[in-house]
Amino acid sequence: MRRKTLNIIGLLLFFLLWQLIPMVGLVNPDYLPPFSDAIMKIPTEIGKGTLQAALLESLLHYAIGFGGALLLAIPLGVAMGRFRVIESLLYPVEEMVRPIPPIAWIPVAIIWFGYTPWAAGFIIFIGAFFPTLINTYDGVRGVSRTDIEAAITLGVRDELTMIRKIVLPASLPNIFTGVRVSNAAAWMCLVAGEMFGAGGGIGLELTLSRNYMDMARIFAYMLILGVIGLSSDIGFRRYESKVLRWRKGVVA
Amino acid sequence: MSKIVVRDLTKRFGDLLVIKDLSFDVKERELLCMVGPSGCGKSTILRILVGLDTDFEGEVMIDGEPVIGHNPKIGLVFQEGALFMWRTVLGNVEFGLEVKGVDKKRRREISMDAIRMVGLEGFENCYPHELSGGMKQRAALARVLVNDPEILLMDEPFAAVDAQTRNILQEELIDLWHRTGNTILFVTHSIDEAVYLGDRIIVLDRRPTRVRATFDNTIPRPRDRTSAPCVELRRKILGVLKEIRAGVKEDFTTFK
Repeated sequence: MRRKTLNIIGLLLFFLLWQLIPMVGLVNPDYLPPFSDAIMKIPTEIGKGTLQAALLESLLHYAIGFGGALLLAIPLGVAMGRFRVIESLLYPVEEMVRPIPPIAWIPVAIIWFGYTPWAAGFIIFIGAFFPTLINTYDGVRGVSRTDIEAAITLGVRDELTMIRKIVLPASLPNIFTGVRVSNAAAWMCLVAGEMFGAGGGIGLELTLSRNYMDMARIFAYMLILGVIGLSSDIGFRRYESKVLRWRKGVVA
Repeated sequence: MSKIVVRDLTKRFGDLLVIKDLSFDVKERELLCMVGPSGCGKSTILRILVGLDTDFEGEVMIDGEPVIGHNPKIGLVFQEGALFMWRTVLGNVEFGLEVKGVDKKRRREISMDAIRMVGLEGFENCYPHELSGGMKQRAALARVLVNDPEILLMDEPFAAVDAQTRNILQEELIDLWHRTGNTILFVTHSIDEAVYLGDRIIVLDRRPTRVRATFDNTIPRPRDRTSAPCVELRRKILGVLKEIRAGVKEDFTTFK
């Protein structure tokens, strides 16, 4: 409880500073508008309908990219962790493609998909894919031999059952870590992709605001991004601690 | 009638000869204890019997049939239980039935029976990290029992448990064995445990492993650990183990 109170006090202090610094003239409010200006932009934007539209577009991009990444990265990570042949084939490719910053894929995405949601989705996909892949792969390789052998002596005969009943649950903590990192990467790529005009969304609104020189509007949309990031991470953590109840005490 | 027959078993790990021409039998419904110096391949023997390690020479038969892969007649209780951390006690115990495709209701009945049998009722919804060492071993035993094995292989199951709990678990194992009529091969490094439990005790040599000595243990049950016959048998086994150790020393001197 004390901790939560302090958390809230910290946030309030941050907003207060943000409010005061431009107000007392420490910085030019044209460049850093006070917190109140930014927050007041939100009802205006909702009134115009732009915020909801941008949010919906962004969520669509997020769903395409992040969803697609998880759908592909988890099975592939499992396959790489379980089958030596697949691991040997894919590992070098993966190691070469992964270091390319997802942002570098923006021109490719726009040429391939045009200014559509698929372009933004693709960039997000690239950003979100690797963290989940790598962590799943690591987790699967780390499944203890004893667990596998215990399962065999208890009657597991086929690989599919082994994966479903042993490999996936045992590597779930790693998979969750991957998904959380992927989530953060997804939002980063989402804004970057949208700023380039790939499919509209919050990122595009940021670029437009810059064109209007509307600093309060820029900060208003940035605030929205911060809130989305924070709440999605809290959401993941909540879900994680519920699903991984068995880990309490294992990791102090 | 021999339940397990091992003839001239030889096992190498690369160039290292671990077991050489090992032969022994386990009779039906017998409780056989196996002791030996650490690193002598006791766990390897169990892994071979249960079908986890098929890379060996010699003959290994269960009920007259050669071992190829895991035989459902055999259950193995691992060192320190090896429970699945992500499953509750009930989830762990149900595992074997789940894999077999037994329906949920029946699964629960059998599992709860096994949980009661090992004295863990009330803890069925606990996760392994919430259990003491002794409770983990009980859960591990229940997990194997639901598969209704004819043969129980136990790999130093009580090694990580405190002395008092270990004595209780040993007594309970004897009860369970009387009730189920299993054949049990029990590997341990504790001579006290072997003398308390075993119908017969096999002492293994150091690497390359073979049988160094066999002791029939006809001391009537329930056994008193401090009784003269128990002490006497322990002394004999200790003597053999001492010889084995002395042999190691000789080797070192010749090695120089």
